[in-house]
Amino acid sequence: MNFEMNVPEPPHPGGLLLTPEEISRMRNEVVEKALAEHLDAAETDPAWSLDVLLNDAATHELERLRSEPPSLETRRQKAYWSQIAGQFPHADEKTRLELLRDIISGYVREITGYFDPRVYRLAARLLPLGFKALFTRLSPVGFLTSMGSRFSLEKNLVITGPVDHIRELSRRGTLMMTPTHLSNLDSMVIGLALHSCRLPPFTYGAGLNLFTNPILSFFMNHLGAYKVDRRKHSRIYKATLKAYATMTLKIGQHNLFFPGGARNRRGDVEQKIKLGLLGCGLSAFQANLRSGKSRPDVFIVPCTLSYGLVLEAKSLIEQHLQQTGKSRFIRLKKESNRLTRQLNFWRNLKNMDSNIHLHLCDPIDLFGNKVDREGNSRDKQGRVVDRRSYIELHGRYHPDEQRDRQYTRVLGETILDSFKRNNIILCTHVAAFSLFETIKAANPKEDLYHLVRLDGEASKVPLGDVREYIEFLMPRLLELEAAEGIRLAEYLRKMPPWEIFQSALSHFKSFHSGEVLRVEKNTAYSLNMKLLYYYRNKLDHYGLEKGTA
Amino acid sequence: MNQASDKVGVIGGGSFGSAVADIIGNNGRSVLHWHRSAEMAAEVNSLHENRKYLPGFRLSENVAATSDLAEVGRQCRLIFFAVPSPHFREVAHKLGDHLSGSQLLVSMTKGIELDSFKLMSQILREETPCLKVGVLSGPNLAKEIIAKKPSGTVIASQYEEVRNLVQDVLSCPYFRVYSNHDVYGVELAGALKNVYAIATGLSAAMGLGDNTKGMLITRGLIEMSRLAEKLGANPLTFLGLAGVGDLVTTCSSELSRNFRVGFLIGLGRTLKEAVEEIGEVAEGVNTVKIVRKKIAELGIHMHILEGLHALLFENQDVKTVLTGLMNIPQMEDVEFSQGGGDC
Repeated sequence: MNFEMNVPEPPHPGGLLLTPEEISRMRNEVVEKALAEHLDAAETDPAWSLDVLLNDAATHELERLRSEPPSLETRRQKAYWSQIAGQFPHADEKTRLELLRDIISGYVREITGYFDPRVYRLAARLLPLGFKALFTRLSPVGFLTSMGSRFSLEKNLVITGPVDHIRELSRRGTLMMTPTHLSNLDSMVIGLALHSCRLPPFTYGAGLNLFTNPILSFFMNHLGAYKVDRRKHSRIYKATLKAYATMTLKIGQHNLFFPGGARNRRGDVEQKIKLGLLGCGLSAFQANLRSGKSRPDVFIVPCTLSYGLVLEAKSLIEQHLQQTGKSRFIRLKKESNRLTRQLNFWRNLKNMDSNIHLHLCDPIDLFGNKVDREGNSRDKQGRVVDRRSYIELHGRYHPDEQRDRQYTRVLGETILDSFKRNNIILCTHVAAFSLFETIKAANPKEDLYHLVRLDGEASKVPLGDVREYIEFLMPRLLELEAAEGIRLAEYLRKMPPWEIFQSALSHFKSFHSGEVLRVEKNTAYSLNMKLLYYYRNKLDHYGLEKGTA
Repeated sequence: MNQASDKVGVIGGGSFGSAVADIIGNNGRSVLHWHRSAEMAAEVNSLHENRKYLPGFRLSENVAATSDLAEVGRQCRLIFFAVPSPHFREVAHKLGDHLSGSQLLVSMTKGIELDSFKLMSQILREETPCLKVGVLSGPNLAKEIIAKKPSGTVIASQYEEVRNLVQDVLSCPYFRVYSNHDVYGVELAGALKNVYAIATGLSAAMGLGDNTKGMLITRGLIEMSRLAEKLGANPLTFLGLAGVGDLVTTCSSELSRNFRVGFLIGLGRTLKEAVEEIGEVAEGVNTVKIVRKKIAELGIHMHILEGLHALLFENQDVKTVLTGLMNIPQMEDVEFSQGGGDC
């Protein structure tokens, strides 16, 4: 990429830079809004009366805490929820309401919890001038670069997509950026990419895991992140989180969150999307229309990330195979502990030498239509559509929660389709797919859980067969790309098939201790079939295997 | 939700479009009924009768015919489509020029698009800006409905608004409307059953008896469910009115166009002669061709359908096809209870 470290344009009006007073007011508003929603629901649906709601929260939280490692905080939380569980059954409605308010307030503090006015003021003063420092010297990546790492985000990041178009839309409405999620590095990569594309700041809805890692946590706080704890499933927590996200969108803060939830453990393109946070866009749009806001629109920007090598690939695929295979998956080594994993993460990052590709996809509206540069929604035939017509009846706003849930499902499907069509394929994926499929064809009786144990000698196949597979695969990939069904890294388009394999070999040599792909005399093999499977999966779901039409 | 003053649109001047327009009109709603030809629209307006497809039945006074799609787009919030599948996309596209995101569209056409394997509701989503789409399907022979004989149908949509409004405008003492969420399953069932109506028509003409008919219908149901499951629909949908209900009716009735096509072929007519004699589109003929191609891609078998394909498009004679069908390996009766299967 042509990386520029110029001073970005002045922040978008209503962007990241809220005053602490505004943040505090926003917190109070979220509490009141979430509270009002629960009371409305309790009135219309007896299944969610206050006692049921409180019981749901206490039950979920106590269950979650049972699997938490012992700590002072865990003990404090256990005591709190035990007290709620003991108190609410005998309490009157007024007391139950107070308990509910207290729980919501606690959740709001937690979601925005790392907000520190002093750090925030400092960051606000540094912004926009301080971005350069944030993304280079102060960031762990920049730190590693200065320590002699071969990896450098500036050098290794390739950004594609309609950047001007997206920048223009950021002036016409509020953006929700929804990237695919592969690695803990994603947030930093996207942060840097958005900055270098001179896009305005985004508020991040980031998973708790990014806050437990001290270095990432530092980075996330500076990006204005709010915390999403995916282990919390109670109705009160989910509603509070959505109320907070909706509020940020309503006040015009561009939002970024990973719609697939946690990092994708299988290595393929996302197949499922969590609709909860995604639905906040439609809530904010409708609230903006009702309040007569001048820029009511919320636009969605799907975004795909692709790494030639993924830092945490090993642990991710192990977890995936264990989850799906259960007793059929035999783990050979014990997984390393958390500290070792974190150390490995940074050591791997230091040793990695591979490009990261990020594609900003065509922006869409909340109903799955494409949005042009002027902010007009266009249906599949290119006709301009009035977005309000989807939520109006006889020219007036018409509320319908069931309809809105379905619209969000349609939006989710559109995002998944965009992910699939913009999934970026690199040489490591082509080589891994070809070798894995060749090994699979040579072992037709083995199921997946046996195949992934065929390491070393057992996985050896003639090199010529792998080469033949790549020669079979590449024309199909080019054809698929021409039909806008997938996206190939630019260098792949012209590279002779055999060079693709050689290039992948050299990438894999630099990482994963060269386990993924090996060549010996006239044979190719893998010392870690699980990893080979992980990288192979990037090309799954396209029917590219031999024998498919 | 819907103002009584809203007109309801019906696109397609065939027998089923007219029968549905008549029900809605009899329920006290104004209907704007689109016909491709202006002459036909004028005739319906002056005679209140669809003389070409439903002669002898007087249509409700509330039904007004038009040949102007823009008028339908402007005046109607709920619009039913009963256009033969080969013309469906073209008409949907033209109407799409006059729609916004607010209309509710319901497909009543039981067919699959050649080459793309797309169902009609998917075409509506592609050719119009509308999202609120549904499918109406069931044992609904137009001539029985217009004669006000009791029957039922299924409205499938993922939008409650569509399900409720369709139940509201169509339900009447002689027509019951059940709702379902499985749009794909209901639509697929409606398209696939036509294939087996051709097969039973053929067997009836050849005097093969009721045992044969029973076997064709039930094995047909298994074949349909097998494909549906492979494509992601719920096979249980096939046990409902849009599945078994429609299959049994179409395979037993001489009013069914598809049954009649099969019957005429059983009497010795060529496919071309049979289709010409019927005079209306028999969707099942196209469906045989389209599904045959699809199952080859999916790697599954639908033996009755494959037999029909051989007969209709591969110049095989009936005797060879029948012998082939009776000699395929015998398999499980109800394969889904055994955790699925293929053969």
